[in-house]
Amino acid sequence: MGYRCARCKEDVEIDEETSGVRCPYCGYRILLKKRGAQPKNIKAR
Amino acid sequence: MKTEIRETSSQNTEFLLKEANQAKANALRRTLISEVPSLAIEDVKVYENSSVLFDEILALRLGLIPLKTELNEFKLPEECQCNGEGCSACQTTISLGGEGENILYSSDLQTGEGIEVPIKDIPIVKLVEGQEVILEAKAQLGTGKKHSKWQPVVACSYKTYPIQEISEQCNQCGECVETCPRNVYKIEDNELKTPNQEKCMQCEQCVEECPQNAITITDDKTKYIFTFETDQSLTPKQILQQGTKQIKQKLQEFKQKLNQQT
Repeated sequence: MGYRCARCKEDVEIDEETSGVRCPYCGYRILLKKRGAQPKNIKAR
Repeated sequence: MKTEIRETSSQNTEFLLKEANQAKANALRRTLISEVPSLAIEDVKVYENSSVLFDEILALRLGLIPLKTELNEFKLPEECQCNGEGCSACQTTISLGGEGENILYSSDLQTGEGIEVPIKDIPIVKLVEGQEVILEAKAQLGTGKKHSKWQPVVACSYKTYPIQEISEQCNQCGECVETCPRNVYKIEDNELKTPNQEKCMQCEQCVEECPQNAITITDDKTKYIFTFETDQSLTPKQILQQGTKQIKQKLQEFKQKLNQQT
């Protein structure tokens, strides 16, 4: 599951071993989880 | 049981139920609330939602939007030949999409042929720049006993027919005329009359105020003043017709089962 940087809007993959939760392009530490490709089925009640 | 329509519009109706009793009036009330089918959104497929509302809340809001349809065009999913799996005979597709600085209203719903959204100005979600909603929903028939979104009536109630009995002790002092909050009484030609008899809510304020103790309030046990309001998914006439049909059908089923037992 990919993430998106909240500042530079770049697609980011988290690398737990080296940089951790950090955008490799701008260094920002707030990353937003992207919505899955599958549509979500919900009951309306 | 006879009815006498007093007042009816596209949304409200008031009628008098005659030659009835409490059980019949309540049976009708309960049937209108929980047994009359109407159309509502049931399954929602969310493709994109970057609005401030969660997908689930968006779906809940969509479910509560009234949808207008002809009842004979659809079948209840449990009575359909597809066994509730979903086919064109028991469900219809509705879609919604929008992006950028605006508010999505119920009028933005893209419905299929024969389906109408009667109330156009229900806000669904407010979007700002960069937010987007794309979803597809399936609407089905259902009844109020399953979920209140399928309930075609919103304020459905009846009251007993009030009778104000005025004895000969009345001296036309006018206390009751002044105190009655519903303006039931009027003094005409030196006589106390009740021009607004049906408006009485049996608060008995007139009974307390009357210095002569001349008034007693009772009710007619065979007459009921019935009122209901619709959510505009069906007309009051359709709801009543469908409701009485359901009662009849249920009673027949009951009779059949009794006959099988004995």
